[in-house]
Amino acid sequence: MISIIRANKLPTAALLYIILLIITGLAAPWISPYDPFHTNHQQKLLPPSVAHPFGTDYLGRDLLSRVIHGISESVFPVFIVLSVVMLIGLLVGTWSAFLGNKLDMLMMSLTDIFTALPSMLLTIVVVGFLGFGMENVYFAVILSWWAKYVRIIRGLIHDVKKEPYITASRVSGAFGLRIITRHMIPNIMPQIGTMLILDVSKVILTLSGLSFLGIGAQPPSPEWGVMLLDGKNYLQVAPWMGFFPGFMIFLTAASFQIIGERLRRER
Amino acid sequence: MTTLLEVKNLNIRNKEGQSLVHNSSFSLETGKTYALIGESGSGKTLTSKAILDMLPAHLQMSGDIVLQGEHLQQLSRKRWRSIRGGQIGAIFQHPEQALHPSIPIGRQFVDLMRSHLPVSRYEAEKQAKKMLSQVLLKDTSHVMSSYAHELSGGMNQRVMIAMALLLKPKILIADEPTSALDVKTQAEIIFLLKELILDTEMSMLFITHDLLISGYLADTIGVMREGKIIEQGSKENIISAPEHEYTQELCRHCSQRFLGKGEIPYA
Amino acid sequence: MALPEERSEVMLRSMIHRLFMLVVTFVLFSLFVFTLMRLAPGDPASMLLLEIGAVPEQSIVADLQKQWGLDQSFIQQYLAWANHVFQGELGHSFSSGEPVLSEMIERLGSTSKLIASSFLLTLFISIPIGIWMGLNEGTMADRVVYSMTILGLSIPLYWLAILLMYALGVIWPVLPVVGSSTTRHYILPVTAMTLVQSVYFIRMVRSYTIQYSKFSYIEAAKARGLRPSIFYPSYLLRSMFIPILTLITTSLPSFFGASIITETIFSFPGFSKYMLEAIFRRDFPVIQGSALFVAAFIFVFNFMTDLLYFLADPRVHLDKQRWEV
Repeated sequence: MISIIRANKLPTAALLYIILLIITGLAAPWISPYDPFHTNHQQKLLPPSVAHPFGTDYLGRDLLSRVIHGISESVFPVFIVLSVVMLIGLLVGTWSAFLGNKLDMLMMSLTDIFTALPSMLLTIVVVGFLGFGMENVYFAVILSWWAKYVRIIRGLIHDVKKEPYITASRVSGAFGLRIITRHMIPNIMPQIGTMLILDVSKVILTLSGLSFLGIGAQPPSPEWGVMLLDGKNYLQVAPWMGFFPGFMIFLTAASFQIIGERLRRER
Repeated sequence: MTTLLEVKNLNIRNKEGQSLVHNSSFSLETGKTYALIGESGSGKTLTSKAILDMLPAHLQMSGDIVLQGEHLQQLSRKRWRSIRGGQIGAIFQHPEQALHPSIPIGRQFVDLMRSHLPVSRYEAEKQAKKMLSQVLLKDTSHVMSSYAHELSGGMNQRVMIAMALLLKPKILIADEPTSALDVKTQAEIIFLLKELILDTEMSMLFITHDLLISGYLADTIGVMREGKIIEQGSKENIISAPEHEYTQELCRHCSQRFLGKGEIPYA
Repeated sequence: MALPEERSEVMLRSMIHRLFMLVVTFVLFSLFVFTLMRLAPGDPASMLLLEIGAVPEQSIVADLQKQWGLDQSFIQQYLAWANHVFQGELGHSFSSGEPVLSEMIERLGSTSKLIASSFLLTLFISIPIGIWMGLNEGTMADRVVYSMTILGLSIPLYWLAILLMYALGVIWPVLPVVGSSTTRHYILPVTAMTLVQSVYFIRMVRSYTIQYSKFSYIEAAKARGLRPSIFYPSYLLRSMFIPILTLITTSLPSFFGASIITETIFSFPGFSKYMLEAIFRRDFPVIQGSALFVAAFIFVFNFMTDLLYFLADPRVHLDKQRWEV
């Protein structure tokens, strides 16, 4: 165990950071030094200090507290969204791998559309027509990512289908569904898991980016993208407003990226 | 009878320090053929790559390789380039893999010639066609304008030989050039090689796992196993009186193949 | 074995097939857009009335609903709508009243300049660096730069743009941060986009180089002692042409997304910002029109690059789709 840690100092550090982050996010109401929504015009636009390690924003709110509360807005939803994507990917992808030629081609054309199009485009169309609100944003993000996973899982299942031990278990009379769930899917999970971790990084960036653009989380939410939006407006006066939320996004995304990369090199 | 190439104490190690080729020494005389025999993984291909200075980056080489008095490890990159192809030619197991798939064959010949000699494109094409007819290819113009995947395996093999011999190198390294061919084509290629060598007084390092072929082509035989040359000597000695038990095994298998007779025919 | 004469026949067949797929995917996408539009909360008849600047009175709405066929089946409505749209009739903006098509075209210039310069710059930087790194895999320099790229991929474009804005617009105000009137206005936006995209490109090109230089025909070419000026462009790069082309095609969408963010941050009045703002104004014709336009552009772009594949590598059979195993 120690040797694993020693050989992988950076990924271990990243993992620790993430665990810490999750714990902090869950414990936000108790840990946070101030109320993230409490405005105090006497204390507005203060640079970082001992009292306010990240400074205060234009409404006098403590930035550190807001960042801490922002964890559950900027990071946790990503896990949920990607879990849904993974589920869809597994269900549709596995099913697709067993389809006949024509149907398979139709499915592939369908996924082709969604992988060729920018996720931003899909998001704009969805939110533009269906309205604002986090559910629509999440729907749009899921819409952007499902196709990628369906195709990859389909491909992986295709490969796994040919594996000798699968043929062997079919010969021994095992029931189809059982083969799929007990053998094939656990077989591909490591690869899917690594991809998911790497994609957490991207989706964090995407979700916060959408909030930054005004889609998704809205002020006064302490979501990091929203905070960045405020930060941009006060750049000249209070640059720390723009720095810290962005830095948190970067740090968190980078940690997942580092872990994901390390896992990928394992293959 | 001069020594053309001398390999002294060749060691090839990987990153973990494992020795893939261990203290190998052999030499190549002008006009003579040396057959390096061994199973896959014995290190014979690595040896040939080392002579061309084309070892994969993660491997380290030590030892001396002397070509006509020149120590090859000390050469500049420019000098190396002129040696590869110019003094040392190489042919491999799969000709389609040695020929670039998206460039017409003729163009590859021209590129080769003009990389080493200041000739016009026309002159290079002429030489190429001449070479192609020497390897007994008939419609040389068609071959020149074709892509590798448009020609048959046997034709590609001859093309590869023609390309290797285009610049009339002193040494030809042949790494299992016939292992992937059917028996009839194998024989044709082997006969062709023998003719070409006799014509040009070229030395050949022939790498194979087949003792029979070595018997026909080689003057000296070296047996390699797990990175070491375990036995070396003139063809007659090795085949009729092998000393090492591994060599004896090989000979036994060969003679069993050949109609159960105890002797291996060699020319 | 295919003769050279048969090649053109295969190519023609494949082109037609791909063209068909292009149309199919676009129609499917338009169906998707239309469906979402119909699912939008609110009454389409009132919307349409608003579109032409009239007041949605109840009786008029009911009449319109009959007239515009809004009481017809979904398919019929779709066909009617599609009929309009595919003839270029994209309607008028709810907010400005101007035809969507002309508003889009006005703004396309600056956005395409932004994206094009950023794209070209990215390629220009990333390909040499990526190849260099790939050929020098494992060296200290390569490892250092590679670790940096891991971090680089995690930097949000919007954060980077803000930092650039701060550094070069506030602390050391050399460059304009708002607008798009002069060429100087393009520097910061293009820089931000290029930096972010380059990280990804460098990694991919490096990975391709490593992969492709291990190909036996590349190694064999090297074993023949080919001159560098011939080897690198004609042999190595040519075999990498296809993956790099794929890279370009698959990364085009991300440039679009990046342009939205960039144009917003730098108040750059382009097409992407226009499209984004339409959401806030609930300007359905604009959303629909620009979405279809972008989709059409991307699909056509993909189609063109598919053709290039065949030219690059005569082994590629275009009747095989990209996903075929």
